Amino acid sequence: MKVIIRIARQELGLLFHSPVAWLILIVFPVQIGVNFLYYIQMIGRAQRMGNHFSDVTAMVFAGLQEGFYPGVKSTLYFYIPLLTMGLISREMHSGSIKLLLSSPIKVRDIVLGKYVAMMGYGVLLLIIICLYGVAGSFFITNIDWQFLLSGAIGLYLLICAYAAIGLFMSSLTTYQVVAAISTLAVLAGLNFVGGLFQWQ
Amino acid sequence: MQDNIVKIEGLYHRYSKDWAVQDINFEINRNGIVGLLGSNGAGKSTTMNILCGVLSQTRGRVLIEGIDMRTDPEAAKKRIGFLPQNAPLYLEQTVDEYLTYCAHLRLIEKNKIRESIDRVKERCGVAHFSNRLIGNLSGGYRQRVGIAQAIIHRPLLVVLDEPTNGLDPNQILEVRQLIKEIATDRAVIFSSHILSEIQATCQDIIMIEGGKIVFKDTMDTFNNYIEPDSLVATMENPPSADTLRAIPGVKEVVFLSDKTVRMRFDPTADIAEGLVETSVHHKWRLKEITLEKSSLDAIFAQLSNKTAKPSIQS
Repeated sequence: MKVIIRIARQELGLLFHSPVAWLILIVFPVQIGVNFLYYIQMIGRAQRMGNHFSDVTAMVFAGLQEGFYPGVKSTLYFYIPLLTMGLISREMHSGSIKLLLSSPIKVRDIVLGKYVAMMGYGVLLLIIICLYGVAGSFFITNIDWQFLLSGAIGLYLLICAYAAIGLFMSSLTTYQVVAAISTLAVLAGLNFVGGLFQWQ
Repeated sequence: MQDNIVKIEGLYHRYSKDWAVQDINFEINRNGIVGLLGSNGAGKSTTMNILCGVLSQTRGRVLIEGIDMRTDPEAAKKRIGFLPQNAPLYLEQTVDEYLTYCAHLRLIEKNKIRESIDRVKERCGVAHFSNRLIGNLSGGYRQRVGIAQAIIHRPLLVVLDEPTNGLDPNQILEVRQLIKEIATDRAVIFSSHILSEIQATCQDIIMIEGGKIVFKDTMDTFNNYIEPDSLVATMENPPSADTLRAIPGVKEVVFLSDKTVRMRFDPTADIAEGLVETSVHHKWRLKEITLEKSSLDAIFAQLSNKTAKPSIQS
């Protein structure tokens, strides 16, 4: 377990040595924030026109077709491949994977260590998402916290699932770009499959 | 019975159809440096990667102190330190950060990590670069950091894959010296395609060519593998070639310059004594005799079934 945590710390350290991790932490909140503002403004405008609403939390955060959370969901699969692309392929390319493979640890520990690192980064993304929930509480009276929380957990689990796919794709090639593109392709494919034959 | 430090039995590996290494068998029973010699693509790195558990062999067994690398890899790897051909460094980290990470990976107890890092830094001469980014170190020092990670957990066996590759002559000498120091209390396997490199550092030699072992013995045996059969003599008043050819045992005489002559002789005859006596008698004023030993290159070429001219080695 200690080794898994150590590998995760190392991976997170390396991730933050590259600009990618920082850039995502800047661009991601801006992109989802624009989305969030759009819904808040829309409700506000309608309210000024004399409309009254109930269940505003669900309207802002998870409308049937659109809303803040579905918006986050559809932006996530652009970012996760950028984070996961180097997890194993970078080590294979530089040869530093031999350090791990010649150490008295299991391959399982290496994979879990890398995965835990991604789960850690996912927590940062989750915090950003939750901050918008907190921001929403300033606009929405009697905000439904449980609803927000369950949505946020769902998104976190989605990040973890995407990270697992990205980690697997990263282990198949020594080229980070190839890993990123193939992860994107798989995630796009899965998103596409989700909408197939779902007539309403 | 005490186990061998390393024992490799019937090792075969293939990446595709052709065997990269086949029927590799050797054992190491004592501390010191064993040279793994072979031309590029001979199978050195494959053998070393398998030995360190980085690559899984197609067939055969690798035993480290009697522990099978396949059945108990963690226990076997605890006893090994490995420096691959490209040092596995993280250029974004400082030397201290990197060695701390390596210490954790090698399962060193937490309270001994600091001491281990200080010890290897001192030993490898990188103590004054503790807080320097590895990416900002020169090639020689990067290699030293690579060696430091390989010995941080006091392994029984250190495997170094072409550690002097790409270094300048001074750095090569420093790294060689470091390897010799490391080998005082453990076994070191050291690979190179440069023959003089192996000759300068190793006590034993294993030669691989085309994926097979073609020679394994001590360095002395290797050096004597081809008997000396020619000498170069320098004389102030050299006689004619015919006169020299008349000395018993001389088979061929070639003048290299006015005063220098190369004589090929029958290895069973003691030509040196005859030459000195005759020289004194006829006042040829013999200044120097250099016995030409077939160099490692010649032996290498012979064992590899290639042709090469012997070069002078005094």
